[in-house]
Amino acid sequence: MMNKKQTRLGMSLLALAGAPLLSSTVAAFDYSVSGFIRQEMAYKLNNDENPSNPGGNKFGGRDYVAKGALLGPAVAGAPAHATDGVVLNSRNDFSTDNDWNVFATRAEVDVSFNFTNNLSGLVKFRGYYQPDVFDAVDKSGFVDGDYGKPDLFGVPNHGKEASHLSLSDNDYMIDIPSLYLDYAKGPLWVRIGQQQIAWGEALFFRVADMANGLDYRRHVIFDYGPEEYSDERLASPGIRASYQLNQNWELEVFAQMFQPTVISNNYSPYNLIQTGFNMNQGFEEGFDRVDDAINGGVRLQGQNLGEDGSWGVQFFAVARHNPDPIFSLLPSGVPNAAFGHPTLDPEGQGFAGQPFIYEPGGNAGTSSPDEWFYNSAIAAVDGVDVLNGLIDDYAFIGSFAASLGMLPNANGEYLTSIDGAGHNYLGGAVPNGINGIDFLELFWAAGLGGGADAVDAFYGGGGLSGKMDVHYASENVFGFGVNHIIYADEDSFLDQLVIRFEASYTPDKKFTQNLRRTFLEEDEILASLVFEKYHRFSNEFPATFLIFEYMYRKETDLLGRHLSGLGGTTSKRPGGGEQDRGWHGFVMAFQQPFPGLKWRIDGSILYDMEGGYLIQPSLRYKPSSAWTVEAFVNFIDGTNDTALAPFDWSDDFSMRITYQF
Amino acid sequence: MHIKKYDFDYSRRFFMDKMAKGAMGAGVLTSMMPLVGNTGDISKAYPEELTNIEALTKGKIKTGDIVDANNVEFVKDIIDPVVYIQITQQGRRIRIAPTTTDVTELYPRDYLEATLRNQGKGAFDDNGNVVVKGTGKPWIGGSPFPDPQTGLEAFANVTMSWGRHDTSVYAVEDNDIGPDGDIEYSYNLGWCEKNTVGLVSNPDGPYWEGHEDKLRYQAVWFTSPNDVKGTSFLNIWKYDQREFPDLFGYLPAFKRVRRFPTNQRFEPLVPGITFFLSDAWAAGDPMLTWGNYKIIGRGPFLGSQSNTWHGDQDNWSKDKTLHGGKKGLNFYEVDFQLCPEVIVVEAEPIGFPRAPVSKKRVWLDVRNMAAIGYVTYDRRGELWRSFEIGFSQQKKDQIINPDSHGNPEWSWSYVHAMDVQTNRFTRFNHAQSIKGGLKTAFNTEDAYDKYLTIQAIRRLGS
Repeated sequence: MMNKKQTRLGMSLLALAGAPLLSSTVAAFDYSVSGFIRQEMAYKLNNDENPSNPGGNKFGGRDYVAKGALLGPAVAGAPAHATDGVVLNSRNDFSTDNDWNVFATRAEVDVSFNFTNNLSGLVKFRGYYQPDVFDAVDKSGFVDGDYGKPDLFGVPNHGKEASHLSLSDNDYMIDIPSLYLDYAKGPLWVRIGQQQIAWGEALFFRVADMANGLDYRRHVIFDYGPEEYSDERLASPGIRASYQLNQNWELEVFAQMFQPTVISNNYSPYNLIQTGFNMNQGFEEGFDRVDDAINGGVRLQGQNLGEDGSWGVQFFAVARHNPDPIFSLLPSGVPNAAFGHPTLDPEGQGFAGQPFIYEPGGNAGTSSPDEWFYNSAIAAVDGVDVLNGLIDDYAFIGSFAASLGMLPNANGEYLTSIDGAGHNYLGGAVPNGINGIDFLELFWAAGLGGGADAVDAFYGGGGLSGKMDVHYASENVFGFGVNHIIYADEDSFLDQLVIRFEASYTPDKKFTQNLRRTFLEEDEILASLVFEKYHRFSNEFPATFLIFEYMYRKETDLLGRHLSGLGGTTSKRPGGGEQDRGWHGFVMAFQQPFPGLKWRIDGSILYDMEGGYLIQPSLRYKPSSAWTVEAFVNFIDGTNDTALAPFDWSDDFSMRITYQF
Repeated sequence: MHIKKYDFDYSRRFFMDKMAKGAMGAGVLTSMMPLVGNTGDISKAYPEELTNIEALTKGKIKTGDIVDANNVEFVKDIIDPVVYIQITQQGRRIRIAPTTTDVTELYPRDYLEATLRNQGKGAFDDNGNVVVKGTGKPWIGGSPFPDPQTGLEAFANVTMSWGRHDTSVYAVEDNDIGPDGDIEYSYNLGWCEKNTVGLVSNPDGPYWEGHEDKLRYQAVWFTSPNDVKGTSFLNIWKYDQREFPDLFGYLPAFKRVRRFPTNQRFEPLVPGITFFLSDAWAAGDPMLTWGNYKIIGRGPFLGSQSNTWHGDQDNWSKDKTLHGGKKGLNFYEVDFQLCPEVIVVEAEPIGFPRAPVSKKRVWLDVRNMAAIGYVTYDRRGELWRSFEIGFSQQKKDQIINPDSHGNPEWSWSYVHAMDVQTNRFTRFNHAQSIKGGLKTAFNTEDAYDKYLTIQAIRRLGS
């Protein structure tokens, strides 16, 4: 058996040795081999750490002093608390100091086959090795707090693999993103096998590009912008058939095995799942529910239409399980004697019926009400409604709320604010009515006797960690697109301006509803408008490519999160109009090659009209066929009103050095 | 042997007189076209000094000789200025072949027959497009103006049918050489062009039914190296030569076909290549997007019209003949022959904002109207780039690549393209096949479905 060090060495040697051996066409068998090896690195430009990881947790090393109406300082009209000023809990300091967001060696090998005049094929191998250069916190095993190195690539969809035809371990993944046969005869083309499918003409904004999910595990969506999602779009086995009806119209259908979107793993550099949640069983069971599902679509596309051929249209419909997961909480199944009854439930089995456990070890879980609401805001979740959902959905917590005398208001809410007034006064114990902080503090009440040590001793751990269920909802998407090229005076800026519009409609689309068991259902509308042009500004330089794209999303932000969860803070619930405003964003980008195309500069700005932005200037140098160097910088900023909030911490300078063969 | 009454300067005086009078018929001793139609032998149309380089150079250079820096001055006036630079400064050599007098060796047979059959039927309509005289219908095949009287007529011959076949699929090996003489970039690319009108080998007639509003479909796609593999572009040329083609492209990064603007035609397609779409066939743009066509000269010229198909070599390679440049990797050693009469045409880009080119100058061999020399000038009027195409029957000794009638095919064989201002150089070899399995072929029935639809370029992408 090969140990880890041997594995790393083996992969590197494979990649290096493969280059010269596979570099030529093997004419006798009519196949050709090509590929590349690349070092890709993203160096952090600030000292911010990913807040979803323990090392970037804002509350690391901080004490939480009770401040609620029940355990905190005395409030007017209420009895004084003996615990005033007492530390209720503390979060361990796991602060990290990472230099890198990405430091990986990638190798890809393509083998193209020609079997007959009508039958060809392609197989693409991709290897990605990310050595342990990260200052990462060891992962925490749910329940037992079993430590271990973070697994950067394993996701339990297919065994421990995220996708079909994949093999991975903590620090490497090898997969086959393409493995297909093409049959083309006359106007018929059929592609069978593992493949990506991309529809639509808008770049980056995915309106018609509905067939495949994305893989966020490597550099999320912050890789080299001009490559769009080519590395991220997830392939899966399927059949794609196209029939050219006549010179203008083409009918296309596909049926493809369901493959979920892959979110960056827990504890990985771009982890999006906060340490307060455990995902693995959720991913596994969520996928198992739909692992035999087939996504399918049909598209009718007409190009070169109109008297001057300047119009193009497409109509599409996709019946699918949405590859983007939606989340709810799930009973943990873990009892806790601290919540038992000496005789009726000595093991605390009742506690097992709700989602949270007290995570031992101190590096996972939510350690305080402040952290609860802070993280909720970043994650576009209403932390107060999560509590209401817990009371509604789980008898154990519902009983606890009932024992306090809490009743729902007309909106069905037990709690209505984070730190403000409420309508449940608990028999006068809380004169302003219990709020989220008051309620949450009760789950660390044991800390009154001695802070974190007492919490650990009493509950078996100090951080509340929730077990997450993952769902892939079925939905139907209907849409259309139009493109048009304008012909005007040759010196006019409008001449050869390409305009593209796409829109899709998804009735009764399901969204995460603050981790409740039931999901939000709304009709989603996505639309994009694109203006695109090559314009020559001078005689000396090649034309500059310019693109402006606008996107509208009725219900969700760019990350697919329902707008009703945006805009929260540690003291303010979301929902101050965000849910009704739609999401509006635009991309402006340019590409300016230098004469000879040896050098090229690119620039792109993604702007969330609530204030977030991603700016990526880049430089590409291609001195020869074999070598390519790309350098780019990501500047990201975003408040909790924006889709970029989860990545606000991540400014980096990236460089990719590629040798191809 | 011609009568020596036509002294050495006779042809020069004749061409000058012909230019001055504006009388443009091809031929010196007699009109060339009737000879083409009657016997295919054009030798009687020209005095010996125009068919025998030894006579023209007074014995300084003979057939079979190598022209290099030592003797190029004797032919300086009958080669294009970039070839002169290559020979004098970069060690290029050319080998002198006999002048081809049998024009059947200068055409694909079907195209020649259509040219002769339709002689005199070509005309321009009010918009400047080529039509069948008196009918207004699209062109019906062959060169519409085999004996051109104007620059526009001359250019119509090279624009209306590029490869002189109804359908051509070319396997192209490209190497791009930097100023230091190193091969910096290498690409394999496929090129397919299919005429929709002016068909010469189609049993159903000169038009592809339902496509008469177009001139051609043309696609170019890269099969190597890895980073450009799958990059594909489809041009749909309208018949109206005032309009730009519709352009659709598949970029591997985007994984889908998108419409692209098409008026930026003075850009290299990929890094390092010294080739613009505008250069193709010396007539890469719709004819009427250029203007001010004028014939600026007539006379003999050295061009590559024979013997450059290396069918005896693996994959039709010419690599054994490489020489010149700093590392000996720039040039194929190819045959040039004395072409008795070329028309020198200049044109200016009029449909392009801020075109970097001020004009192009093209040498068209009147025997087959092939563009055997092509240079462009920058906006300052300085010599900028060349696109030298070598043509040849696909015949090497006893080896031939036959057409459907058993005759040797005829096509382009190589391209030398050079940017003299940056000293960058590109050469194409017309290969038998390239990486990815594409093979050169002519008049294949399935080319449209395989290469020339949006569906096809999506499939060609990887």
